[in-house]
Amino acid sequence: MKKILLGLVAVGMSILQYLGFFVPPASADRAKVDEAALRELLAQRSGDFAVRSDHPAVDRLLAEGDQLAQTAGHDKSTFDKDYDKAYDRSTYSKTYEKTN
Amino acid sequence: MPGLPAPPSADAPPPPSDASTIFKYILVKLAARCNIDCSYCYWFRDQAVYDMPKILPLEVEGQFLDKLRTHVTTHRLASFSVILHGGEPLLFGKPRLRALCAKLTALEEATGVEIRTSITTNGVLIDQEWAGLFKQFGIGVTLSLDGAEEQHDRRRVDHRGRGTYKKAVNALALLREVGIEPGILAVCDPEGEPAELCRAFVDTLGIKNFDVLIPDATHDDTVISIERYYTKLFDLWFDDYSRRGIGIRFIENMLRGTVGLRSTTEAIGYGPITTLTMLTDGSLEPLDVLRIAGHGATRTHYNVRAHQFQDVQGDATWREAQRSSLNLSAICRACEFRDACGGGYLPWRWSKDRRYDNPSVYCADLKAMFQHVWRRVSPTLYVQSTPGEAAAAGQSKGRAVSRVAHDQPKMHGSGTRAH
Repeated sequence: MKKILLGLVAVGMSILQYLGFFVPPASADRAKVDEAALRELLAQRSGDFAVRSDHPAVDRLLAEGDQLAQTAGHDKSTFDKDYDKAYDRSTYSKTYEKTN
Repeated sequence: MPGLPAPPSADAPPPPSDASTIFKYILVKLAARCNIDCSYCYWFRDQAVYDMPKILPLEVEGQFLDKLRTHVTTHRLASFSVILHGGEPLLFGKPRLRALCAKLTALEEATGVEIRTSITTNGVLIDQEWAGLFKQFGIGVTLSLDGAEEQHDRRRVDHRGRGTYKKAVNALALLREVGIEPGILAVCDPEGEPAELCRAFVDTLGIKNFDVLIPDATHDDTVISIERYYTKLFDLWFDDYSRRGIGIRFIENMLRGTVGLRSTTEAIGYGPITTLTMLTDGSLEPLDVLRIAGHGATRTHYNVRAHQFQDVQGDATWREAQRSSLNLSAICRACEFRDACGGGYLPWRWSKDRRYDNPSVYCADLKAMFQHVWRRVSPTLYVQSTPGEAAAAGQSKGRAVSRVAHDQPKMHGSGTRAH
């Protein structure tokens, strides 16, 4: 009986979620996004996920960040080009190795 | 340079070519003197500035314009920014500034390169004619203002010790009369109340965007903790002012770093120092605030009289600053906020003993500030899937995939500044 009730609750939650009414908190039965995964998602920027925020100003900054990345990709004459070069993984590693 | 360790040798290897940069802006010191006497000013900590011409000589101005023309055409730039600075740049005088702007406009027309001109001023000398001149030439204005009158006048005084608030606020009004909304720069008073500053700016003066700079200091100074001030300022912005559309640059850049975005200022966040400064004698130097190290520590052997802008990247002093901005101290490299903080502002890393091989003099404060920002922001973050991903996961209308587990160790702050 207990199993049936739990099953019904789970089905109900799934339906509500499907309809967009309910956003469940992170829990053991869902894929939890830890901070390492978040870093990867932020690094990908244009992957299948976007990091968003419930705070309007934070969400706006996150959206602007994506726009910056797109600008850098399309307009090679802009400041972003140099900025991206300086942040290039190989440069970063090289300068670190030099120090070490 | 008595008392200082040896600077890097002139034959030190150049920085990696892919870390070098074509200058896109220059800080031009129109005046080496100032008409006011702020208690925290970095500029006059280096007595070497008194050896400079008081204002930019006409002959040096001509050399500057020649080199600017060569620079923007050689490197085929679409635009270039000229930031007029001081001391107090308005000591340059109206006739000289008008003539300089006319020459910059002519250069723009001749080359097709957009020249963006801006000026940073204390506002004391601004009258209707100055405001009209800025308007005529499309000069962006940044005005220094430290909050309410009592806050401002405690530190921003003239050479007789009199407060300058009324004149600065009058300048704000005059600029607005001609349709210029200046950027506002305040310097943090660590013992002050950020709520008072925000009230003065937003509620009293109607300012929508401003910055609150951390006082410049090195490891050879005794500094007052800034943690209390900035965590309060962050909370004010996060809980209230951001929802009213108010921007506070430093706070927003701390936030940007914390959620993995690039900082838009050299004051915080990992990235190269790219500032080029020209002094009134035509000397080319790195970031002017490095002058806080004193003893002419920013001196190079390059001058617009004989060199192009890019040539300064061959100077050991310039290279040291640029390389130091990218090569952080061991403490910074091991820090969880390495990318978001980037060691803070380069001048804050200076010590006589180890030069730039230090974390920021404000390191403990910055770390606590970033921890606070993350504590506040992380509960609001969630990951949203695109329709394609959601479909693959069998969630055709999935919105929030998951909240971020914010009880875990902090992120490094920037996925884009990869390591």
